Amino acid sequence: MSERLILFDGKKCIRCHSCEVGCQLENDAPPGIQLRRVKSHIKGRFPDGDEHFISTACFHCDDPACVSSCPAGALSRRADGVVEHRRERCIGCGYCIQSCPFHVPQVSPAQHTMRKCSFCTQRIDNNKEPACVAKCPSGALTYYPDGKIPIGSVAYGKAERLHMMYALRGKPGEYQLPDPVPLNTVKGQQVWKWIGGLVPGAFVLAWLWKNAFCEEETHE
Amino acid sequence: MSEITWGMPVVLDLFFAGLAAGAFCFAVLASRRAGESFHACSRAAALLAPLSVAFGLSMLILDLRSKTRFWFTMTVFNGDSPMSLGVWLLTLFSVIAVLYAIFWIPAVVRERLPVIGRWPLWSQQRVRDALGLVGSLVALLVSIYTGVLLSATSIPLWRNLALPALFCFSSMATGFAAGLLLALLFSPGKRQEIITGPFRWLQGSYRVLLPAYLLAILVYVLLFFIPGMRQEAVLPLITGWNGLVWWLGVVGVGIMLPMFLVLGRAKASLSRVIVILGALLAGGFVLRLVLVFTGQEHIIATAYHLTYMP
Repeated sequence: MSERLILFDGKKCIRCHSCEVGCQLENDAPPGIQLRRVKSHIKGRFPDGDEHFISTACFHCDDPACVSSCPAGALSRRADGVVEHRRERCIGCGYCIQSCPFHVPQVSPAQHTMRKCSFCTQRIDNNKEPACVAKCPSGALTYYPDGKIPIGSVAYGKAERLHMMYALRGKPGEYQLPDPVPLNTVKGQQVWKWIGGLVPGAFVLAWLWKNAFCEEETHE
Repeated sequence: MSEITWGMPVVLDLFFAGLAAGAFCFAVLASRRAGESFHACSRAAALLAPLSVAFGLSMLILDLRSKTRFWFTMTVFNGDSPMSLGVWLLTLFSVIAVLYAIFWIPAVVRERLPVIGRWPLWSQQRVRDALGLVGSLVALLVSIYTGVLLSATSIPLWRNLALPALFCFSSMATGFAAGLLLALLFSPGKRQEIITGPFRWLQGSYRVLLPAYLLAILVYVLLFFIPGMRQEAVLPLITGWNGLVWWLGVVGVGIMLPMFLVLGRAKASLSRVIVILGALLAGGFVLRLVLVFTGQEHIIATAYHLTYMP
């Protein structure tokens, strides 16, 4: 199956917030929860300043840390690259929030679960565009159902195969995006953390064990 | 929008799950020594372990936004997720801790337990010791898991190789302390024997465990300053008010004070013992408290999606 993509073009965004509204209406988001958010970043100072806009949501990582961390099987990566969140399985433990390199998931107190962008799976599975793309009047958000973005285009997250990519007007840092794109720390580094705890821990426990033995022998 | 995802229940879970693991190890270690006072310590610690882990687990459930769905975690095994591994480790540990505790219930009381109370199994000391050995290894993994749970995330303050060892040593120190304090509390007639016997032995253990604990905490902080790590991640913890709590509370009162008291040659009195054990328990709790809360300030400050920029 081809991988789905959304590409954001920083040159075209006019900060009208239509994508936010379309997303809210489509995805049953309660007040206080915004699954997509438009933000502006000002570069330079008046009168030479320049304003950059960005429309962000879940990055739908190729190797998602949230899927690795979920203890309830609520998160999964579909074959088309969409990171799916099944709310009926979510226990609301918040571990995905801590493990997501962008801290995208949010807790919805009203719905007792985590919420994040769903890539509008209910729409894309019926050959429609995601709601944010459908509502964008300036063409800043484009949906590529075949996963092929125009050849030669430079985008944040292209090399890391994120499924929400950004063609930016400046450096990622100017948009407060972490640079380079952070990776899955749950799966990638966990083994070393276990070893890092087990080796000194076992060593000290073994010493205590031996110590308990030794003194007993000297007493008897 | 909630600002702190993990609050006090998670801190309590990390503390009491670690304390249970430490108490279990203490019970097993003390059971290898002869004498009434060691026996009293083993009994107190063995009974404490299942209660402590049960309290920790109930705090874990209390922290969920959908509390009635906690059992979903028992239908899934996700080997990549430290939390899923932890759920299964804690389940295994709880079963072992309950069984081990039954061995230590006084026979008069145990015989009144329905169905299982009169099984001849409970008087088999070899079965008890074998269960204790297996249980100690599981307890070791439980104490490490509390550190791996935090350090596998993408929060810079937690993403540190020394955190699992630090939590492991802290769990052992607090678990041993809680076990001995409980023995002192429930055996008022044997207090002097407990201080001259098990506490002297515990002092010997702490002479190794507490320097290792202190070393782990220093390595944890210093790891942020090696090239390639982000030192700005640790600054909120070691400077300002948090820094005061960290250096004075966790390192000073929680480790250095008991360490100097156990290294000193002064005769152990009841008040001295209570100061040592109380400081260790308080320090272990504040360690988790300050780490869990300070770490999450990073989410509020930098969460890309949440930061509100009008």
